[in-house]
Formats: sequence, C-alpha cells, structure tokens
Amino acid sequence: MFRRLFHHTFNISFRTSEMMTASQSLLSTLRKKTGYAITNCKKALEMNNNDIEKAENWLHAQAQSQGWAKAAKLQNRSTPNGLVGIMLNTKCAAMVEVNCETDFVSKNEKFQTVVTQTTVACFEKSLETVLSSDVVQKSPVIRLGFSSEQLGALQLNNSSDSKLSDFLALNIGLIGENMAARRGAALCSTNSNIKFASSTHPEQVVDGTSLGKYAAVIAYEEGQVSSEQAELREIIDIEKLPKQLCQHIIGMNPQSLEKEGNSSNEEEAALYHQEFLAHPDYTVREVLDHVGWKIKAFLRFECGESVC
Amino acid sequence: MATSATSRILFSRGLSAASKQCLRQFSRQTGLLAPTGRILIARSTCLLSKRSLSISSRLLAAPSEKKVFQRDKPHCNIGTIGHVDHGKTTLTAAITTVLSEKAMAKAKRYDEIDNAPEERARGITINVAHVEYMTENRHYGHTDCPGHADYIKNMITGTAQMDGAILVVAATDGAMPQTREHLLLAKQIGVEHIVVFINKVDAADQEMVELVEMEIRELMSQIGYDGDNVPFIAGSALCALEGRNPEIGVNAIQKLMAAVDSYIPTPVRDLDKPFLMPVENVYSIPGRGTVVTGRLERGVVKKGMECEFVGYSKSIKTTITGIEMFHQILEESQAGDQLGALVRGVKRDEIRRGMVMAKPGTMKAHDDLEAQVYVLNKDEGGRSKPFTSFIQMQMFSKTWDCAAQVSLIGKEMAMPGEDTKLRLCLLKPMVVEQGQRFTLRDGVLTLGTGVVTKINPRLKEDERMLLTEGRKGREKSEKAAAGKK
Repeated sequence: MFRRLFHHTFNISFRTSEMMTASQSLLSTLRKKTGYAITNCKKALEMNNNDIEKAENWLHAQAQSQGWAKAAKLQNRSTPNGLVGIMLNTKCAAMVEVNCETDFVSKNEKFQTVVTQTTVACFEKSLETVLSSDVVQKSPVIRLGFSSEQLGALQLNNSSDSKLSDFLALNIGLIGENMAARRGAALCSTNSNIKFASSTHPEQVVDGTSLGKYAAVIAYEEGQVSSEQAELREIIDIEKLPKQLCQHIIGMNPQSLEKEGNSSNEEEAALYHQEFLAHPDYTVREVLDHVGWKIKAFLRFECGESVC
Repeated sequence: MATSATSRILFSRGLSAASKQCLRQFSRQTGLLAPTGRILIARSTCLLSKRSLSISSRLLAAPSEKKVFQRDKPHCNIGTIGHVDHGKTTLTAAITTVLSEKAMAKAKRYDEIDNAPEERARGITINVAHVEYMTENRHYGHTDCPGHADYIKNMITGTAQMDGAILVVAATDGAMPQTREHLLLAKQIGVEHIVVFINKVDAADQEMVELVEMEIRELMSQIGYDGDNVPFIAGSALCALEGRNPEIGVNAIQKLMAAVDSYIPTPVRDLDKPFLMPVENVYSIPGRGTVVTGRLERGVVKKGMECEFVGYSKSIKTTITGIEMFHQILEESQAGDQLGALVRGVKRDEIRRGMVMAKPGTMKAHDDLEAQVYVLNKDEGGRSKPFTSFIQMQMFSKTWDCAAQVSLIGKEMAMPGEDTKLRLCLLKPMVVEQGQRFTLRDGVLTLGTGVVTKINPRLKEDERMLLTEGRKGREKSEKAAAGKK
C-alpha cells in the first residue's frame, strides 16, 4: 500500500520532469562501483554520454576539487569526536589524533582508513627524522610533536605527489562531515636497549595500526632487578606487563613520571606513585622494581581532550 | 460540575489580578477564548482531582503557565535518524508545521529544534530536541540525539526510549557511509520498526529516488530489518515547511505520518502485561495472615488470583485473598498502585523483601546475565578510575540487591563516561528479565547504570565456586596452570 502511495506521488511530481537521461542500470552500477553521491554519478553519466568508464574517471577527477569545496564549506563545524591511531616498531612509536563531527563517523571504515593513513605518514616521517638526524642523540628517547599544519603537509606513502591534507579533503567530500588531523606525537630512540609498547582503548586494529578513543605509548628500558616480591612473582605475567602499563596510563592519566614537590596532589598524578591498575595492591614503582624496568617516557592522547 | 470545582478553588483564593492574567495567558497559549480557557483548566484539574488544589495554586502562583497534558490518545516515542545534512531537523520542523494546521502540534522553527550546544542537557540523561505532536490516532514524543553514545545512554537509562524511528535519506546523496552506522545502532538499541523518508526529491528525479529506495531496502535487509516491507515515503521537508509544491510537501508529510501511525505499533501498556509486584515489606497480621506490600509495577491484580513469589532460590505458589490500598479494600488494583496483598497459607518468614509477586510462571530467577552499562564519570557521581574484570559490585534492581562479579566483554577495562558490555554473575539467583534496569554500586559510589540485554543459563556449581575467588586468586591459579604446561 505504501509503495503504491509512493509511486503515485512520483507520477504527479515528475510528470513534467524531462531529465531522465541516465539509464537506471548504468546509474545504479556506477553508484555501486564508486560510492559517490547519486547526483554526482548522474551528472557524470550525462556529461560523458553514458560512457561508464569515462564517467568513473570524471568522478575521480572531480572528487578532489569537490572534496576541497566541501571541506571549505564545513570548516567551521566543530569536530569533538574521532580516533587516535598508533603505529610502532623497535625504534619509534607514533601517535596521531584525527577528529570528526559525530561518533557515527568514527565507526566508519572510510574514516578509519583516514586515521591509519595519517598514522602511517606520521610514523614514517618520525622514523626518517630520527634515522637521518645529524644531531647526536643526547637523551636516550627523543620526543617529536606534530601540529595540525605539519600533519597536513606530510606526504602519503602510497602516492608520492599527494599530501595528507588533500587526502583528508577528499574524504570530507566522500563522508560528508568535517574532519581534522589535530595533532601527532612520537617517541623515538636509536638505542637498542629502549623498547616501546602501546595500547589503545577501546582497542581495534586496522592494517597494523591500533585505533581507539584513548591511546598511550611507553618507552622503557629493561635492567637490573632491584627488589623482588614473592607474591608479585606469582601473579605478574611479564608478557602482558608492557600493555598493562599502557592501559594504566590510559586509565589513571598520570601527569609526570616522578613527583617533584611534596604535595599529595602531585603524588596522585605521578606515574611511579600510583596504584597499578592491574594489581591495585602494588604501586607502579613496586611492580617496575620487581621486574627491573625503567619507564623513560610516555605519551597519552585522549580524543577530544583540551590541549594547553 | 468541573467548572464549579475550579472556580471554587479560584474564588476561594480570590480572583486576583495575577490569576486573571494567568487565565489570559493560558487562553493565548492554547489559542482559545478566555471562558474556554477556564474550562480547560477545570477539565485538567478534574482529571487530577487529587492534586487539583496544588495545581491550581501553582497556576495562581506563577504567571507563565503551562498547558496541562491531556491523556486521551495512546503515546508513542519516535525519533529521527540519518545523516547530518539529510534534513532530520527540517523534517521535524515540517511535521510540527503540517500538524499545527490541524492544531495537533505547536509549529517549531528549525532553530528551535536544532538546539545550540550550550542548551543541551548534559549528564547521564540526554534529551536533545524533545518535541511533541499528535495525529488523529496517537500522541508522539519525538527525539533527535546527536551521537551514537547519546542513543546508547538513552537506551541504558530508559529515557526517550524509541518505539520506532524515521530514517531520513536525501535523494541527492543516497545512503551515505554513516547511514549504515545509524541503522546498525537502531537495531542494537532495539528499534524494530523504521519508516523511511526520502528527502529532497525536489532536487532529484524519479530514477534517483527509485535507486535510493532500492539501496536502502537492500541495506536494511542486510542489517536484519524486513527491507522489502519497510514503508517508503518520498517528499521534500523544505517544501512542506515553506508551503510549496503540496504534492511533495504537505501531502508527503501527511503520508509519512499515516505510515508512522500504521507501521509503528503502539507499545504495550504496562497495564496490559501479566502482573508483577516487587515485594517491599512483609507483615504478619494476627487473625488475618501474611500481607505483602509494594508498588504494582504492571498488570492488574484481583482478589482470588493465583500468584507466585520468586527470588532467593525459592518459589512459592499461593492465592491472593485480599487487596488493600490506604487501609481500604479494593476489588482490583492496577499498575502504579501502592498496595498490600493478603496471601493465603504463607508464613511471614517465607517471603522477603527483594522477591517478586507475579503471575505464576511469568518470572524466573537467574544468576548469569549480560548487560549494557553506562559507567558514570566523576561529575555524575561515579569513580574517577576505570575498572577491570573480576571486580565485585553490588547490583540493585527492583527491591533487591545482590553482590555480583563483573567481567568485561570485548574490552580490558571500562573508563568512566563510556558505555560497555558486561557479564554479571550474581552470588544468588535473583528475579531478572531482559530489559530490566539496574544500578551498580561499589561502597558509597554509584558506579554505573545498566539494562539487562541477555539471560544466560544458570551457573554450574564449579563456576559458582569460582565467583568467591578474587582476581588475585584467579591470576595465581592461571599462572600455576601455565607453569605446569
């Protein structure tokens, strides 16, 4: 009954319409194949005399400029949601935050590809910086930071002449929401004693990149065991420990490694003094002393948090 | 009679200038003449006869007055879902505009619905753009939530639960990447009935509209909806709002509302369900027997009905031999009543607070549940730290509370301010059903609030034994087992 009502509507409203030039199967095929908005697919077919290949090329060619147009139109919309992506190897761990408008989009595959691509680009750049660095490494772990502009200027690794900002604009056009690569950071070291670990929450892995709303990275060094504890020996799983430490940082949000002053506020915010999330009867220091590790540096991103 | 009742109240306090002004305002608001306005107030006070005095005095006290809700049509909650630019808000504005012509809604402008962020009520209940209107058949509450997490929160806390939804898709764009996300969410939060509105047909042609319809039907079938039979209405919300092209404007909106009326079923009222009363207190009255008190949550109870008490691993069948409310005998008691029921042949100490009195066979006790929980953040009174699996919490639901062991599903920890899926193992079987709401507390803090999504079979004896073993014990035995290998 509703179908009938619906068709009835259209017999009336489109009786005068003379625009039916793109045949339905072609339009439908092109739309399915490319996923571009129906209006654009239709326009592409009309302009290219229903030649589906030409139409597809035209669409791809148009997408970039349309993406920029859309990005310009949406640039003032706020982007409180999004994802943080992490990529790491033995020398470097890089982390980026990409924002979008709604949390529906942060669940979207296309958006997640944007985040992974941005992470990869940031990771490659950090690695390159560290390896080519003429400066002798003074501290064992180097911190790098990327602003939104610096991220936008990065080259995408899969196509040499495309910048990340172009890729972002293209996807703004496709997804239809404003997006921004907000910030990036990396911990790097050429010292082989330094190890990296990471965790995201809620964790999701896409093409070798971990994604989540929260993310943390640690750089740590294994060394001499200073004080073992009998009970910890029974409960600690050394393989899980690096990840548990990252989860602790996500959950407890420490502000520093060690406290500097004597106030109890600082103690709460200093990583070494906090109760360890996975074994709340012990502090992080007790656990680290037990296994003989030292945390050299850590990074934590929370998607949408305010940055000073 | 009703008029005189109110006027007596009005006059007894003297028809002051304030009350006259109140009446005038009232009639302006309702669009009726002053005398009718008075009758309207009278009718409403009659409806709520018990509270009439306080309402009238409130009417007298505050000059800016509210219309009194008339419950003469079944109520239904719906919402709009769809991509940001596809016209959800315009459609909502169009619906109220079209219905306001029949005096069944108050027309709302676009910017009245599209609440500014600072107006958004923050906290655990989010109630963005709550609009009401009615058709010939029903009264509607209309919600539009901004994000995925907001819908989940609403589902968990039970605010603005949607009985059905209108999916808005622009004919010019078709299904956008996130249309799928919206539909998945609707399915997840249990919205079974969706009506689709294809918007912006003034900027499209029939072929495009047909293509969009095809796409959406396919997508909906994929997700698990009955894609072939979902009603589709095409039109232009903007035309309806601006009063242009009635075929795709006003008429389309009317067709849409007709489809909503007929396709989305009226929710079953609590009154029509099998009866259920969580037991609050049990008394022994010499010479009469045992009386249980509580608030009848749903259904109707009559003298002489069979009933069953369930909870604390017990189940007792008996008969209700009398019902009382406010020390007066009742023939029949309805959902919402605070009542005392006299039950035959049961001793006082056999029944406890936390059990339920229900229609025999309708309620069962369970101890292994899955739930969707919203973890309160610190500002909402929750913890500042996350929690991990095997934490023990106190679960409160209906009139019972019970220790429960919590394990996370699909996550390693739960952060304050996020929603999460949990498995709850109760130390004692309690009366639970799917859709039941509860709170989790840890000492003095309310940790989270949730809704039961799935009931698992009862725990086996060895699983039950494990519950009392803490996290450390588990880790030790796990590690010992790994060491043996």
